[in-house]
Amino acid sequence: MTGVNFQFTRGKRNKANRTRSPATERVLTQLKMISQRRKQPKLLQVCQEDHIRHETITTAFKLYRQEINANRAKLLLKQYESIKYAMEDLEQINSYLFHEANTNQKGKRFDLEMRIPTEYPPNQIWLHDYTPAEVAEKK
Amino acid sequence: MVQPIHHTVKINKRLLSPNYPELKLAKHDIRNTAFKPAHTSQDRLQDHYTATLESDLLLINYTHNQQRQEGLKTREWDGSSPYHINRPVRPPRGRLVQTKDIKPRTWKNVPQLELIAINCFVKEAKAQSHLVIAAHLQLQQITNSKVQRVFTKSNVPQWGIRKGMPIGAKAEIFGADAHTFVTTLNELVLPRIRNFQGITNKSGDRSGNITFGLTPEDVKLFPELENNAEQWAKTFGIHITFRTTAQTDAEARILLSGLGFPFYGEEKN
Repeated sequence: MTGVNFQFTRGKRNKANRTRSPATERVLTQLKMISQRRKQPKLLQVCQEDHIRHETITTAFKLYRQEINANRAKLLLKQYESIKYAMEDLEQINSYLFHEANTNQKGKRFDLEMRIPTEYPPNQIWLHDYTPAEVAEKK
Repeated sequence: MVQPIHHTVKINKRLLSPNYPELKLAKHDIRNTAFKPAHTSQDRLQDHYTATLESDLLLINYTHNQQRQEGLKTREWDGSSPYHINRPVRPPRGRLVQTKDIKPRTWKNVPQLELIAINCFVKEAKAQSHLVIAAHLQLQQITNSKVQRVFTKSNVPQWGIRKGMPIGAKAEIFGADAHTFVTTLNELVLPRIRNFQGITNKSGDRSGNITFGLTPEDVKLFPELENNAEQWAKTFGIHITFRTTAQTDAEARILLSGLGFPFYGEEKN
């Protein structure tokens, strides 16, 4: 064999006397991080009773969400019909206003200042005089 | 007489057989290996969309007496010559590919964010193929989802690529993952990019999908990578595509501006 450099070690080659460059080690770590074994969570082991309980709760929550979505769709439909009736009326009343209201709003943007709301917006933005609470000493 | 229906009703024989009961569980069943818990936490962006944006977008996109607007389609030959019979159809006028029809905007098709596709092409992987692994891991870190590998499709000796070389990674994220990605971008990453103007108004594929890119330096600002910065000496630029249900790019831009993305430049389409 030519062109292959073996580093001869005394005895059998095993994990203990194996040498790898840090670059190789880094790639191996990365490969471990993306392996599917890490992503597959442990299968839940539940008894029959718990399983039925879980199914009941899941179904109830699904129905609850369906109801919310149906209400939302109903509201949107109402809004759509209101817009339609208003435009029909406007068309009869004033053609100029109708034309102005019916122009394409291409290029319209929401304000950049509009933030996506958080559930608990902070009253105090930054705790400038934070001191950790004293922990009782263990005896 | 009862007509036979066994020809019309499709039967899944897999479900009839008593074998392998564990493979017949529904996807939402916790005993299924493919089970993925959903709605485990509040989705801020979804709530914002349903509470504020949806009704506004319905009003903004409304036009009275809308008709179905036909897109550009391929043109048939008129058959005036016998040679027209086997001739391939002509492309649409002024374009090479067909465009979709634009349907009337109603309460049923208010534009919304469908998914985010993130693509990472690693040019250096031509010489150093191990960099693909780092790009894969980077995408996994910032998207919290399963990433797919990308391989070259063709042989181009001038570019130094052969068919089948690993050359990058891509990910498609939906729902809560996508919404978290959007809020991370808008609140933590984009505001800290120097000289960031926004997404250009020229971006878009004419059917409501907007794309923009981030450089390797910008990607370092993602909190998942920033908190572990010494491990991420080398990062890779990404292309982010927002696939929306909007029918035109202009409508998609209005939606994305509602999600907090700034836009700049002249808008044509």
